[in-house]
Amino acid sequence: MTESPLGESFAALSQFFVGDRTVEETLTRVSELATTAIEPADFIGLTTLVEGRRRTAVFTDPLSPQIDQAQYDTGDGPCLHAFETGKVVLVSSTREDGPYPAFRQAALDHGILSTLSVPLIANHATVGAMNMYSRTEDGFSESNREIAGLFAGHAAVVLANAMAYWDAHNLSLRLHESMDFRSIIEQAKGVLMATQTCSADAAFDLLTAASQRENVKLRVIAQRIVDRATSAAKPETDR
Amino acid sequence: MAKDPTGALRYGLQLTGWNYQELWIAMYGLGGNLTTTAIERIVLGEQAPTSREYDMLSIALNEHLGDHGHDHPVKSWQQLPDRDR
Repeated sequence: MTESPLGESFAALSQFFVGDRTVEETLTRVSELATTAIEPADFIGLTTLVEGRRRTAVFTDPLSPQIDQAQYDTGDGPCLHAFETGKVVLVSSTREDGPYPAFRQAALDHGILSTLSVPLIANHATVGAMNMYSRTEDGFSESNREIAGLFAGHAAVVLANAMAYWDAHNLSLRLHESMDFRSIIEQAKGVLMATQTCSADAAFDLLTAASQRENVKLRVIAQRIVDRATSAAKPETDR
Repeated sequence: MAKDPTGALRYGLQLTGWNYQELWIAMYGLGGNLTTTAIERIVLGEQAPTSREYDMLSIALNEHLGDHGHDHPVKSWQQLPDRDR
């Protein structure tokens, strides 16, 4: 028996390994799976924090960020509301008057007649909002909303794990880099202490002064000193 | 006369968008030995840094900010104003 699209989407989500893809790729895959799982949705956009501001990070159709821009410009819209309040926001008909007038008009102008915004909540924190767009008026039934909520719950966990994984990965990279820089600077200080007959603090002051004078990073100055010292130390036959 | 480093460091953290951990990583890469807790206390004005400790933090901030178009916006220890009596 073949699995339903909904079942396939949940299965794919549960087997997702966050380390295989970047956060953006993860968001894109979640959006694609959501489009399959929630049938009335013609396309989906995910709102997350991008450089500290709420933006449509990924989408399955370029119309999504175009429509969403109306709410980012006004600070008022169902996606933002879902993100900020942690509540599901339904716009049954963009033809009717109601909250978020600028967003409603933008959606209507692009042929979208109803929208459903579901918060993505993991560990009691909202990590984003999943926004579904339909070209059918009153497109999202109660059953659709329940499925969207279930899917969003699973998606939020995947997203939170992806963000935590890549935060830890990037932190690890930065730490390794920092340790490498420190090593070079300590070596350069050692060279200066020996050649200038000075203390470690005085050696650091020399590095700092050279860095400021040449407007070059301290580790670059340090690397030059170490390179010169190691080059000078090579036997004649190796040069 | 005592110096007041907190304003300059807070300014640097605001420009970089760093938290204390990120500042610690950059400072560590320069050879500094402050803990993250000590950095936080210094920025909050609860602990007075030595001139060397402060300069390590200001260099860490300025080197990152230099990559983003700023020209040493965080004052060095020598450039800091004296604390009002």
